[in-house]
Amino acid sequence: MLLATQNLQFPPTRDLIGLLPELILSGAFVILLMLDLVTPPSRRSLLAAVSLVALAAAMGAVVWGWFDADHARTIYAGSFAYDRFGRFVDGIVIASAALTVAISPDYLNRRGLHFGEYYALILAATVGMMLLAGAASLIVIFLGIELLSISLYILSGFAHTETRSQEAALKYLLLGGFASGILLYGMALIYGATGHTQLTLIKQSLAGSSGTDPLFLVGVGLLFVGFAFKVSAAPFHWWTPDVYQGAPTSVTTFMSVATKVAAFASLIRVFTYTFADSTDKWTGIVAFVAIISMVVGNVAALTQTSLKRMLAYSGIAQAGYILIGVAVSPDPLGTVGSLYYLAAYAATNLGAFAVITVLAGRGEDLDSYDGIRGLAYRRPYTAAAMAFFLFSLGGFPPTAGFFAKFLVFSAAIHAHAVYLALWGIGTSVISIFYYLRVGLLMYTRPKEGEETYPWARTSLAGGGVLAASAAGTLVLGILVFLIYTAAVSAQHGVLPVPQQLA
Amino acid sequence: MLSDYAPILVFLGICVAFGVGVQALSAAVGPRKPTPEKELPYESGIVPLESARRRFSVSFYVTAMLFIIFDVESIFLFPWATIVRDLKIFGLVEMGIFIATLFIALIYVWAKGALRWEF
Amino acid sequence: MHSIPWLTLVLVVPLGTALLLQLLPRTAAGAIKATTVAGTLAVAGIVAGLLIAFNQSAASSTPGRGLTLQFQERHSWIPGIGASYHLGLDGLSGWLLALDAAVFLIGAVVVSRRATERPKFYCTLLLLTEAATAGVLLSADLLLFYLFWEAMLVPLYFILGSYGDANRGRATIKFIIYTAAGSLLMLVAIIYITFQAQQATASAANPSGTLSFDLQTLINSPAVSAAQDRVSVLGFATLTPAQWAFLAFAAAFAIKVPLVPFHTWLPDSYTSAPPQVLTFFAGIVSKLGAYGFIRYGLTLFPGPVHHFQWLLMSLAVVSIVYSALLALSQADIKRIVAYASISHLGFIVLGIFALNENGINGAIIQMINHGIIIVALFLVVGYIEERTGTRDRHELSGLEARMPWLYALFLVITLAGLGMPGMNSFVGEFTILVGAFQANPVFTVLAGLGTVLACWYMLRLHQGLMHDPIQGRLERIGDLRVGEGLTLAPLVALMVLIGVFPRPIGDVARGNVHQYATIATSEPGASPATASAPGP
Repeated sequence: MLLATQNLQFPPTRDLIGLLPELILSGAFVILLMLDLVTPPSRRSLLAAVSLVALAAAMGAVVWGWFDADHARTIYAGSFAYDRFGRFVDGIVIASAALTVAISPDYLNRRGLHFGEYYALILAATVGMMLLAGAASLIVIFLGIELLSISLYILSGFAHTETRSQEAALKYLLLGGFASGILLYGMALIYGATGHTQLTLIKQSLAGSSGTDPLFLVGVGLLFVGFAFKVSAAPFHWWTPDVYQGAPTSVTTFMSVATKVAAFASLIRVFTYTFADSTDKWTGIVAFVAIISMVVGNVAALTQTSLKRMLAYSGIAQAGYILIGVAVSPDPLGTVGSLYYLAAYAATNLGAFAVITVLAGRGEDLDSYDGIRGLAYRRPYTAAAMAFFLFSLGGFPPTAGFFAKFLVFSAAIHAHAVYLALWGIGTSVISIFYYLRVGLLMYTRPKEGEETYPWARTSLAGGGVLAASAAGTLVLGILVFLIYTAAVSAQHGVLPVPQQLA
Repeated sequence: MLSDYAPILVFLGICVAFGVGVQALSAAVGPRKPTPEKELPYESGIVPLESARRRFSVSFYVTAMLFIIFDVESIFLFPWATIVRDLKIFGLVEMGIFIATLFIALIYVWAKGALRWEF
Repeated sequence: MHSIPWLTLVLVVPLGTALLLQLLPRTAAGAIKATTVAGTLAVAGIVAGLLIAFNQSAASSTPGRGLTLQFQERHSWIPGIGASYHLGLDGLSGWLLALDAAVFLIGAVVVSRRATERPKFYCTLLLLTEAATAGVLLSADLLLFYLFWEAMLVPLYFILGSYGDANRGRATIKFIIYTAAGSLLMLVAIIYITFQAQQATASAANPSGTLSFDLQTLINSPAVSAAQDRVSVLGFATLTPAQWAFLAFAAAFAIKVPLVPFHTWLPDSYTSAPPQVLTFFAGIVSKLGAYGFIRYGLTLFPGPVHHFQWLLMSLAVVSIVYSALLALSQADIKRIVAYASISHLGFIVLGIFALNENGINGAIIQMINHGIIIVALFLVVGYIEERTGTRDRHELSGLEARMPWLYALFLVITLAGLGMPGMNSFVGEFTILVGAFQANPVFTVLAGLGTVLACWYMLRLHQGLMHDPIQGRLERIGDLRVGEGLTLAPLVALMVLIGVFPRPIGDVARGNVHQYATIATSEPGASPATASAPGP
């Protein structure tokens, strides 16, 4: 019935081109599975190379799509948004995936986890994230979330001989499944209240109504809880430290960055733009969750002695800062700030986790604070890079983190929500303490005869990834206009059609 | 719009009332004389030798899972079949890709040894 | 002359030198140090040229309420939010830039003469700090200013965290957190006032207005102090938004200066840091807080400045007297100098918040003086500690016999430090006190107490260290080496030179000082709604 009314074209070339990056990566996924069967175990780095080629091709398609999506439109009967907003997020996700793949072979070899499925699963998760970023229908949102989540469930248990990794996978699976259920429940209620699954139609049916339908409001609440889980905002963050710590570090690198970026993209598309007419009903809750996340994340990070857990709590806090941009809806500056923050967070956090991945020696992951004591005396450039990332996370100029914070605080002040900016700076000051403590450890001279962690030699690929992340962090901190202009353009073209940035 | 669903609610109510009612009636009216033979799982069958809660080979689960996956995916063929004429050659290509993907999955599963019974 | 972007060069030369250092092998200590000295020398050369070419009458010949900057460079940076790469020099920043170039040159020379752990790392950080501090002084755009202001903490963190005594970790984090907390408050205020100014530029053709972080634009925007709706926090302190914004700026600057009670980071980090770090850490960083008070506090918030004049002046007086008393009670000579430093910085803030030309002029002179004296004092302390292995006042005595050269130089420094007439401090403090007396005689008299206390602790320090019978174990120490003497000598010469011939400072600064005083005592625009309550 639906098909008949939409008067579909066959073959739907325009629609297919809109999904070109996703199609490339899906194709690569299948090819990788087949290649894995014929590749001898010693040459599995070849699979990484194939993945990188596919990701590069997908990136090319995304860049082309950025220019092509000048005039935003929905494809596949309104279920997928072909707009610059989606391309912007796709770019971040693909770049994160490519950098993760580049550091993976060395790391997986050292840990004895080098299996071919790894790359296929990373690509599958990437496809899921890209679907999520572009999803313009509740069904596609769910599809994207499930695709990325299921891939990540497997990946987080990839170190299948370690109890901690198993625990991470199981915990992630159970809680993730629970969150998906809540999300789906929310979607069902919204469908019940509006009679549509497509965001554009939902927005239309909400126009004019005051959005006080209890069915709708409960749906919005449940939907937000589901998203808050995926972006690991407090108080829905309990899984994050355990999963980040238990999963192999290269997986954590990818998961901590790309999942958050994609889920935030969808959150913004659904809340800021679809529920745009009832912002007064839900921005209070979002602001509350933002504050809780900033406080809980930063305070809990203070007492950590594990690098991965510290970065996990830091990620929870960062989610709080990004949520500020959502809480000030419908101020368009909020979306721009959040998008910029996502790009900055991706470059910085990926870099920080990449350092831990690159340094991890045989056997146990590099995780405890003691493991990086005296790093600067043995690996000065790696330590400098890590310090740079920590400064960016702490929001110091001239790094990406500063302008990201600057833009979300600006959005808060612009929307007359100065209290959000004040909470933001208060918690930022707390965060400086634990970031700098780790920084100082690296610059503490190891005592005479003291054993340091057996850091792995940095390979060319590892060094390249660190350099690329650092360059990204620096560019986002100085040549701000490049990404800022892109973020404004992405906000400008977002579907469902937004309020214009003044 | 919600009132359109009222008949369904009524129907649901009748179903529940009927089910519960019959059970309650038989419990209240029917005679009950339990003997050890009557309490057995299979009243006139073979006497169980041991507990049913024993460990199965993991191969059962793997095979069952694979069966369900391929089984469910093939259901997709049915709706496709109803409109295959409207979709013309495009539909054929699409389904070709779908079947090919399934086939590749089968090869993968086979090559990985998931279909072997003995390990 | 104007075709060459000289101000950009001041930033690029240290950055370029730092990049150049990365090409040298880590073990080539000699080459690394020589390159660093050459880089800082080049910066000093450019700055000297800028001061010579500075047009002293440009500011005086510009009518109206505004700030005249010279050698300006302006390029679009983030067009979307109206932030620009705008550099400019005035009489105030010109002299501080000279001080900046000088202390980093000294810092580079000092480090080139002593064995330093990881010289490449150290020299890179020194050059980065120089670029950041110079950027603070040169920027004429609020966002750019903030960028350099915060970025300065990054190299300082590594220097303080890597070089220093056992307590350095704690001291460093304390310093960074204190300053970052103040700075972040300032950031919120910056964003707030720029949005206010944006709204004021709204017109029918441009309904949302033009956003700009440019200092000169914001100085003349009446909007900053226009909002009169009072905001209270938890029912206390009902203030206008502009007053809150000023307090946020003041917090950032008061922590950096520091003023009592925001000073507790300073003794820790000064005590922990080695002398070669203190040359520029004590030499320039604290002056940037005072610079910020004049350049941004006075210009952006004329109303609130008057409203809180009493507050800042009393904090300054408390700083002067309280730190002088603390200096008297210390045994560690480095801590004595640290507290003396806070006390002298109090004078600078007192002068600034006299809000008249004398006060500001004196503050500028005193900033230069303080830079020179404090660097010299910390070098002396370093030389003594290096030779005797102690900083305890009670364990040191009679050094005069063993170190006649140090004795002579230290005597001049001591006299300069306590504000002896004929020395540089006297000129500065006297001008400040004249300005402060015009504003508030009571505070001035109380501040005068500080000079008396300064005589006490400085003379006691000098006498205790130099005279008295020498303690046995100090018999073997040697006098200053030629290089060390030559490092101190120019500073001492400057103390005397400025003391007898302070005119050049005033000449260069006068025009802009007049502008600062005018801006601080008048409201932008002619809107009667912006009239502020006069100070008590």
